[in-house]
Amino acid sequence: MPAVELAPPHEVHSLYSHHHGWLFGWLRKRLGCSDNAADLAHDTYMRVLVSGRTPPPDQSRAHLMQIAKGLVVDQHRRRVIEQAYLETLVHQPPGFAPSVEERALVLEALTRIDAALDALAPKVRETFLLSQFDGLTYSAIAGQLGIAVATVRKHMLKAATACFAVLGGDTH
Amino acid sequence: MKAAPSAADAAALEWQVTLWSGEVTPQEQDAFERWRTAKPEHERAWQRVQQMGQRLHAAPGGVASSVLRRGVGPDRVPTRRKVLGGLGLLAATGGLASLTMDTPPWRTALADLRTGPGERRHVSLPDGTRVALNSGTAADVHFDARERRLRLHAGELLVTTAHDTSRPFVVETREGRVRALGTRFSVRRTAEAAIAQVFEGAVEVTPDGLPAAVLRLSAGQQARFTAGHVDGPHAADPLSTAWERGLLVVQRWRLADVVAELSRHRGGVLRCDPAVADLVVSGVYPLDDTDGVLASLARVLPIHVQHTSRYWVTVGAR
Repeated sequence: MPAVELAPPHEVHSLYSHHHGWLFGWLRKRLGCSDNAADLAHDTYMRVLVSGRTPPPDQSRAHLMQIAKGLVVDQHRRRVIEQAYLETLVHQPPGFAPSVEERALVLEALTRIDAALDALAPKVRETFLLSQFDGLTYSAIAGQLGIAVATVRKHMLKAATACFAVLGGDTH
Repeated sequence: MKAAPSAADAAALEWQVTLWSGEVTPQEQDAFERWRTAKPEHERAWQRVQQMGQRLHAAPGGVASSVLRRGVGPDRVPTRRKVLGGLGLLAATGGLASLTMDTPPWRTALADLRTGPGERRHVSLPDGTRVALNSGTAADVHFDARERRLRLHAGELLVTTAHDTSRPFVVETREGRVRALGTRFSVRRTAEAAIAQVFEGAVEVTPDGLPAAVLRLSAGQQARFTAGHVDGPHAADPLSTAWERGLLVVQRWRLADVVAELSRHRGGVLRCDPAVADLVVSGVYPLDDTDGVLASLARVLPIHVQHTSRYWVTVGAR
């Protein structure tokens, strides 16, 4: 298990007492929901705590806002993926009925994959989807996208490396 | 964001990309086998990449394909692709399976299966059987012409057997034997007993010292056994295999049981105060981040997580 070095608690505490009200207000304005804003504000401080370090005092708010924005994007992504997943399930054959826990596992995996592929160029992303989820061979992908097989390989390596960073083994 | 992959991981990813092509040449297969068996760290890197592959395919291909393309118009996804897709995937999987079976040096490399606290692994055995090892597991592989046998010393295995009518597949513990009848099942050793659970097919459980007391378990059943005693069949818990995907899934568990389960997945001491032991917990939690799980439990339950040191943590009343 990787060792977790927590940020100094008194520094996190001071970051909390000086900026929590502001962060909560900022999130509430953005999300229009106090409960959700309170959760995300809490998660933001948890991230700071487990990140092992606190920002220099003059960058406190910029740092907190950057983390909070990331969390808002994650939450949005999760919702979009969940919606798309539920719609897709409707169109599956009648015998296909994943259980609640299977759905939760699938959603988690899909959300992570989506986040990993998000940063990639559209052709890289499409290459990876065609190979992994549509089962096309590299020649077939090259033909479909009008690129060389060598380029397909290059795209695949890029996408696989991005996925590995978020889905790779536990022995890191 | 995590750092760039290590050299071995990067090489394993390159091999994975080659094997995913659907057009692997025998020369490439040979070269891959040589690389994989050259060093133990190559094998470990390969297993990490396999784990990514499993998580990648948690959803059926058609579902993942359409969900991940949600932003793209439906006219850009020809339906023909789905039909072709199924065939392509089968072909690719077949290639990988045969590759594993044709690799004799494996046996020696796999003679000892081990995971440390908080570590989980997936391995393929020479016959194509897939085994997931939970945290803190130790097992030996004994394969011969008559029998495929795993000796489980500690921890937990989830086995998906490859079909082989000529050689039975057996998991052996000090408490007794679990014989697979074409199946997916798990065996776990605790301090007090061994537990066999069946998710597909069936197994026969024979407690040590009671060769006549054979208990047959079908899919959806489990039994707990010690040398000289077997208790079951009871209903199996399908959620109990979520660790294979790095998750702990609980429904209406006692907090003390959740804490005990989390402590399997981390080093050091993790204790639960009896005052809060009976609080009821449900949820899906990542096993890679047990500190994060404790923090999130503390948010919804009237508990306080006290870190005396990184290795001594107590869950008590707030």
